[in-house]
Amino acid sequence: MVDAPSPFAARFLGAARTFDARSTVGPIDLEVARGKTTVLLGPSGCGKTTLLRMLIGLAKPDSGRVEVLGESLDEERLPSVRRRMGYLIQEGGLFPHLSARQNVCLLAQHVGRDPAFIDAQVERLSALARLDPQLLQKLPSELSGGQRQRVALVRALMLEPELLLLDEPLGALDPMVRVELQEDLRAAFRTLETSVVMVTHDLAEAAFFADTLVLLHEGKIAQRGSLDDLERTPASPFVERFLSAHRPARRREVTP
Amino acid sequence: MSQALRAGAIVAACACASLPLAAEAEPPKVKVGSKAFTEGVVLGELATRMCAAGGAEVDHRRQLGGSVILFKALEAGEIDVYVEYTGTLAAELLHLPDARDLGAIRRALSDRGLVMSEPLGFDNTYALGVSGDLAAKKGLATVTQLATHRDLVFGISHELMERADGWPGLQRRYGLAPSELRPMDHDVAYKALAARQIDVMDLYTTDAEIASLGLTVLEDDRGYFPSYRAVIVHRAELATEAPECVTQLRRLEGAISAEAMRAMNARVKLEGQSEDVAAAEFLASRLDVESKVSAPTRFDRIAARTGEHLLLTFASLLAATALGVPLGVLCARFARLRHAVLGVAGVMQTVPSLALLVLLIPFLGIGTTPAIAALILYSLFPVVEGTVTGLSGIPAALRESAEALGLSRGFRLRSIELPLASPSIVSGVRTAAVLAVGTATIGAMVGAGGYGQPILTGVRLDSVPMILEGALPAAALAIAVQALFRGVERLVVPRGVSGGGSR
Repeated sequence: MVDAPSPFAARFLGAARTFDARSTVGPIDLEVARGKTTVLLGPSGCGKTTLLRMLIGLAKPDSGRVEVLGESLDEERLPSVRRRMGYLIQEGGLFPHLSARQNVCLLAQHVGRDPAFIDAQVERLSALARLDPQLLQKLPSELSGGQRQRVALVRALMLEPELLLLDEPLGALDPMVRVELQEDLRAAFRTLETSVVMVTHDLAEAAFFADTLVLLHEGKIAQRGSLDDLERTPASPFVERFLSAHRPARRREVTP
Repeated sequence: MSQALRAGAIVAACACASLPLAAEAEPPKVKVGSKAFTEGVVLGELATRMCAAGGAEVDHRRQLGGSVILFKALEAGEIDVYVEYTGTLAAELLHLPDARDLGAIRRALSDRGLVMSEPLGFDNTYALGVSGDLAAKKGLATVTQLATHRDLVFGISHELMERADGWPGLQRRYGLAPSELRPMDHDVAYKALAARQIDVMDLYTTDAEIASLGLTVLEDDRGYFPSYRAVIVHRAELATEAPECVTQLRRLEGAISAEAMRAMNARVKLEGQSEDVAAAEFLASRLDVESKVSAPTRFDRIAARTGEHLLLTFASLLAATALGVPLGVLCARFARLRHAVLGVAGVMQTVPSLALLVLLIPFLGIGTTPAIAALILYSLFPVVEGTVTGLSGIPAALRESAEALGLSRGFRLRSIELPLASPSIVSGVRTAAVLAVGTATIGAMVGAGGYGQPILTGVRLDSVPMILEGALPAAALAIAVQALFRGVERLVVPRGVSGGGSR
């Protein structure tokens, strides 16, 4: 699709959005590298979810612009650009009136993909997401929270997205399930070599997934880099405070 | 030029050829209307039978509400003929100063393409009445004589109390001095007079009770009350379309005395005969016109009314749903439209149904069409509201997930949003359905039939069994509709969507 593949999966070019007098996100300049996992991190209200929503066109910048997969997100192009992305949110966003399988196949069928392709994808991705294929016949309400997120992951991966967006994908799960899903997710990202942008407020989770961390504070980028970069040379007192607040949690959960 | 001539000749030839055929094969069709009270229906039945005697195929659209509905229906050609009172024509319909000036009424009607017959005989005006005993004891025959007595209790109907040409003027004209004045319902006044709780009451001069209670009607010797002489009013075209009918109708001129009218009213109101029987008896004995009386069984009547009621309810419901859901979808998307539509629809709910029907007559005439149109307007609001509530109640996460997937707008609406909103939409349609079942009873006011017909007749005749003949099936239908919608809900609302829309 793209003539000269840009090294970026997405770019923020001075993108900003004001919600009210007291909360503004941006202006942000940021490149999201292809094939890597970028984690947007920060306390609640820092603007990380807004940035993610800008990438999928659910939030529009008031000024500046956003480029995704080499395209700008104008209204006309939006559906086709969105079909090249996967989007996964905290509660999965599964449609309650459709079975897990119908949820998973909805978009592929809507765009007229071959049934053989669809069946093969469902089988392959269920295995990748470690989802019991029998569960696909069930309604979302008949599944556990973890199972629902696995279904939502399969749905997001169905059309082999070039960019996968995740908004606190594990936020609503209990710790045991969460750890298990973290491993499975990371394994899936590595297998697929897809570009990922993930939003989380949890430093341990961020460190677990991230190739690049982007720490946000009050709508601006406080610092970006690896966890080591942030720990060794915190760019501001806020970065220091944020790291120290999360340290005990990190020691407990992060295993090399 | 020559081509046009030839075409014209062909048309003329065809017309000539088809004319005698049409005249032989088809009797003229005449539609008679009648007002929603006993005397009105009896008069309508008389006119119907005379038209039938004139060789027409007659449709009697009984008890079509009040004068305004009938007059508008006549002007619109929805009916061809009905019986009206000169006083009503002058004061209410034509706004003329004097009901006694028949020439002026006739001219005003003629401007509207309508023709008025000579008076039929009786004058159904207001009068004051006293019991026969009292009249004999005090020697009362006129209202002037009544004024000399200052020890009498008057029971005056609410309507007369409030009318511009009612009680206050009457009291002034004659210098009446009741010992006590009690405003009361007209029917109650008869009972009160019989129980001697009141001495004097106002009445209509053809009321059936006058004879049965042995009342004396006091002469309005100073001509205070306007004249309410019955006359036949018909469309001018009727004279050419069905000349024989007009000839027959004219035989009623001067043929119905107050006493005869009173007797016919009594046959229906007091003896429980149908209007058909009362009218047929009168015509057979006075005008030597024989006519058939058909007496459908109660079962036949209920079956017919049920068919009409179902048609009204479901036709309007179908249309209200077909219009209301798309309108609701648009309203959910555009806030300004939502405010406008729900505002207007809310106001529509408060317009009395009868007023709405009268407003619709110039556009839609009378019968099933305006009744369905009115019902649609009433049913629309719950459907639109249910749709808007359902759509705006969809969690943002789900709406955005559908959007973020890259599904097209139309597909999202069909496959995601409407199914998720379906509990609330079904609930809105159910509310509309129950509303329509109840409101469809007004259909009887404009000749659309339905369960309102026996209710209207029952109220008019003070007959509880007749009221129940409409009210019970209507209640049963409302319950059935509720049950039906539980089934619809199971069919339409997908598994997995909670039925949170019930209100």
